[in-house]
Amino acid sequence: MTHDDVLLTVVDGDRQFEAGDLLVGSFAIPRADELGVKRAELSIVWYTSGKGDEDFGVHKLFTYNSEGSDAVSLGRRRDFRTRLPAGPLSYDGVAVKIHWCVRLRVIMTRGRQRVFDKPFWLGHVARAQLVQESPLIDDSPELSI
Amino acid sequence: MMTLACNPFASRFTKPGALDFLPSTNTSLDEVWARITEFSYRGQIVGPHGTGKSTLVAALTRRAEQLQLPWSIVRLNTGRRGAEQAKAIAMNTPLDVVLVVDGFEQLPVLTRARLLLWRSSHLIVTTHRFVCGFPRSLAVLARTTPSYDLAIRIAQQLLRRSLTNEESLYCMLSYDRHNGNIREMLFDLYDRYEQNRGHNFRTIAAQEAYQ
Repeated sequence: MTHDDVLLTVVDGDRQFEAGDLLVGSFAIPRADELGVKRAELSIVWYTSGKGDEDFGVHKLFTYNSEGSDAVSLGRRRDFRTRLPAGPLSYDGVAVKIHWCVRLRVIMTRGRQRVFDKPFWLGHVARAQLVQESPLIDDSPELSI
Repeated sequence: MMTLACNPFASRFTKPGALDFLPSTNTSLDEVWARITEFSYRGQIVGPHGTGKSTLVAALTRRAEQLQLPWSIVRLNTGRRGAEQAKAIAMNTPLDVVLVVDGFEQLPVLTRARLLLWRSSHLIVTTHRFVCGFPRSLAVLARTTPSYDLAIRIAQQLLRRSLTNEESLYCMLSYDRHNGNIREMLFDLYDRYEQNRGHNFRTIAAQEAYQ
């Protein structure tokens, strides 16, 4: 299963969302039957990345089964909508960053899984600025990493 | 579009299990696994800080899962409360389950002695110094040794490209500064990446990196 097998969209996903905004989107897995998709879990999540321990939160979770009494066709477009919370807001920090995304976890036969993320930006927190070190202290060579 | 780039040296990419285990000249995963089975799943993985012991354990755990082998890991790097919980788990793990204690020397002396005495098999530990397995010997399954070559390969794996000469030089300086502790070197690279972001390095979008 590749990115081409999943259609995951967020309406106006390029803009910066405000807390309380309605996040609207949809997903579809056109070849779901052929790929042996058993279940799809769509979640609106935030997570941190950085140098230390990671944190993670689920704002909203929707599950879709292709089997059982609540079975739906995952090949058809499934819409979702949720009101975004007040926080945590997206943050591009130095020691830690806060990411928001719509995450689609696709569970296939024999327990195989694939995860697809659609990142979006919540809030207007300014990007962190690194304070320039003194050249007298930093004697290491100029590098691109 | 506003995107938030992940630092490729962030802990989510460098923590044990996230990085692929890179075999060195004296340690391959198959060889370690062969020794594990040879010694009835009992032995020690020895090496200094930040040389890949936990990463090796993560790779071995994946192998155990593939083989559907009963396998339980106890990590002793989560503070005092974590150590107490880890001790309780270690002491209560059934004898037919392979118990892996990551950071064995952090257990109290008495707990270590009991584990070594009780578990004649199915006990794998990671440790910074050789553990005398009295009354039964504890075979050395692998020794993780830092090397500059390994450090470069890890940096390349994380960046998904070759390093320039300047970058290699920086890695070497950082590696030496931290006495071969690759984990500390990766922290240095994290900071360096942040200092230079938005300029001439390649960023990896969070979405792409996660997958």
